[in-house]
Amino acid sequence: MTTLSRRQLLMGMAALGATVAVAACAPVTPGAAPAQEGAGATQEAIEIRWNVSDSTSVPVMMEIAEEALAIFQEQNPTIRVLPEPPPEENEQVLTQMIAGTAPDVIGNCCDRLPFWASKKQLIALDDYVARDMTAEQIADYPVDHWNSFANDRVGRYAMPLYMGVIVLYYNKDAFDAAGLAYPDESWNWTPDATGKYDEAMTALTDPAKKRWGIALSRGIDRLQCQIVGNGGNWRDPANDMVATFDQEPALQAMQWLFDGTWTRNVVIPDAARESMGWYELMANDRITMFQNGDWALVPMVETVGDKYNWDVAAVPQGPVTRNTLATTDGWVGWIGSKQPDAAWALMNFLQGDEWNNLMMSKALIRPSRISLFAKWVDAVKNNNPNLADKNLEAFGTAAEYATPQQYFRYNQQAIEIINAVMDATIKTGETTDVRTAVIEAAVLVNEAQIAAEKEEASAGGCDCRRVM
Amino acid sequence: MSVLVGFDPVLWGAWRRRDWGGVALRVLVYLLLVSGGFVFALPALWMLSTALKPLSEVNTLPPVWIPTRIEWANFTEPFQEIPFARFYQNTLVITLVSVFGMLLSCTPVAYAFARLRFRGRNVLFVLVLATVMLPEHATLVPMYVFFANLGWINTILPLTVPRFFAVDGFVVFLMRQFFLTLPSELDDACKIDGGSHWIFLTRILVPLSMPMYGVIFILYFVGYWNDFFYPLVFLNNMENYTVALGLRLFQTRYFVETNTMMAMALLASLPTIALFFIAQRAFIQGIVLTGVRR
Repeated sequence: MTTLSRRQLLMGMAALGATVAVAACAPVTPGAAPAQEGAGATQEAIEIRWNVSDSTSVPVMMEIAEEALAIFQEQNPTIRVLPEPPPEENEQVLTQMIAGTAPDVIGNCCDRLPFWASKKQLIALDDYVARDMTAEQIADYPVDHWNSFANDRVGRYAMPLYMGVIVLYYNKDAFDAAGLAYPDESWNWTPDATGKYDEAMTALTDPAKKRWGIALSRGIDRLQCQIVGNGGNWRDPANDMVATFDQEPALQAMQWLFDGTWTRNVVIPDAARESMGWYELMANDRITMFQNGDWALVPMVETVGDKYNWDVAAVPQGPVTRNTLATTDGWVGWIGSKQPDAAWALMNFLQGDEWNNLMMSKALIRPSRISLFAKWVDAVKNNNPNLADKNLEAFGTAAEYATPQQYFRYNQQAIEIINAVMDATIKTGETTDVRTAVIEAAVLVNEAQIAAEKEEASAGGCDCRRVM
Repeated sequence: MSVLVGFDPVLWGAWRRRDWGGVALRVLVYLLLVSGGFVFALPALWMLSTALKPLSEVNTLPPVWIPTRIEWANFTEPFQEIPFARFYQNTLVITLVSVFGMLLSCTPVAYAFARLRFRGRNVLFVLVLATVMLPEHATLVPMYVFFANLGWINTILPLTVPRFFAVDGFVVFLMRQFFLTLPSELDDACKIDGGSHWIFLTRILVPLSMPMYGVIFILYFVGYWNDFFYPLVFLNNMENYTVALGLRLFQTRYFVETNTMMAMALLASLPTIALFFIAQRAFIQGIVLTGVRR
């Protein structure tokens, strides 16, 4: 038996290390151009990665992903899909895109999607949609919702994941105790706080019990609903570079929220939450109402338990119209995918009945397709007896007036400015002159948009519209 | 009281001498220690309590310590929904391979710095120590690109293979310092008997250093078992997930299943708790030896 000398050992290890280092020095291929071959070009099984969404319980989503993939595999025997849990933070996806290791199909949300698209990180879907989807299929989506996944600049960059809409959750027992009628279609709010909604907030607030009438988000997407309800807009609908939240309807809406929090003291301020989320605030009777989407149904059942009766209703009418938020969670394909056709095949499958049925019955989240709205109500009631007596139809009617969030072209730049103002005013109450602060913020946002555009132009411009 | 008196010879002595002041002082010390211990045990007790609760009793005012009904499903349902057993298996493999690789590779390096005389030894040692000072975030991106180019992302290789290349300067330092405490006469005796460096290292130095290896094993076992950051960076597919990564699955954008997460966190911490009780002497010795708890 030969023994290994120290020198031999060291040389061996050095050789191994050198081999590894040389192998690692191979050319980097982040954001590699998609392969030209489609799924049908070869009969060998191809593999794609699918990052499922965290729109609801991740274990449940992973479970139904496995079930759905068994069906997908039957329909697409040459494509093998590896499902992955959602990222810890969205920066992780961006990092993977830059490093060339992002999943082929990603479920994500909000302004990140158009941002990634403008950075040429997403597969262009216009040609796929034109090729594989009929006009009838497209008409099955609410128009605003469908259009929210495309813009003039980058084309279609995402397919709908689901359509959450915001409704009003309320504690029925608290209403009974206060002798108030439950919220109905006649409920409204007014800038001078004389609507039925306003009156209920006041009646249900009880400082002795440390109870506020309601929790309202100062988040931009939720605030937008108040602004639109008052006849305004967050930004110019015809120009995504121009802020309109400094116009009178928007200013009134923001003043209404500020007054509710800091003057009338009927909206719980962040500082009084004692680190509790909305569900815990509801469960502990710190608030009697809050606005949230269908994803809150199961958490409400589990968090409130049998402490009291609760239900949901349509969000109250604004002075001009009724408006609520339609979520913009979507499926996107990564531009670096070696198998863009297979990625599209999966995204298209995720619009179909099989996936949507699983999503409705197990994850209890509502599909984007109008034809499935009524079915969703039945699926939720059948699969969760605790929700059988809830007014889930409120979600269905909300879809008729729900609108997606209005993004600025350079939304990240706008958000930084707006959030700072919202923190100073509505969140902390440190700045009491809301109007001046918001008007000044709008000027800064408009300037930031122009600056970002110039910066982009100096870097060669954005050749954002991609083709298949 | 009689139990305490019988348990503690000092207290027993004071009791027999009828030194009531001594007894009172001793009892006071015990009360303080028990109170302090209780404070430190509170998070673990809260974890246990939460793991057994229905969600409706998790964040309540005033807090509920004893659940009105025990929710055993918190421990069983996650295993049905996600492959938590697989997470355990992955974590065990990664942890054991990593610790083994680190002990194996750091030993000859530490030996060279402790026992061999060669040009540039001190400079090299300073370089090794410098790697300890380097913030890990500074090396993260190059490391990620390196492993991405090797095609190792979404495998356990980035979490294990580097351990076989003596990458932990702290361990090298620790081993070197321990080797230096062993008398140089041992080297001479081995040489006189015709033994090579390899023989000396494997037959004499390593067996004599077992307490030190035990300490490092325990500290790093716990560290790798609980590691969240690097598995998060390198692993995507749930099949390869570790326990620490699995725990975050109970947290979604809108909601945290706190009770289920606590139940799984309790199970996740069992191996390290067991290891602590089995080898608590070595664990405490490790803190004394290194001055840190990893």
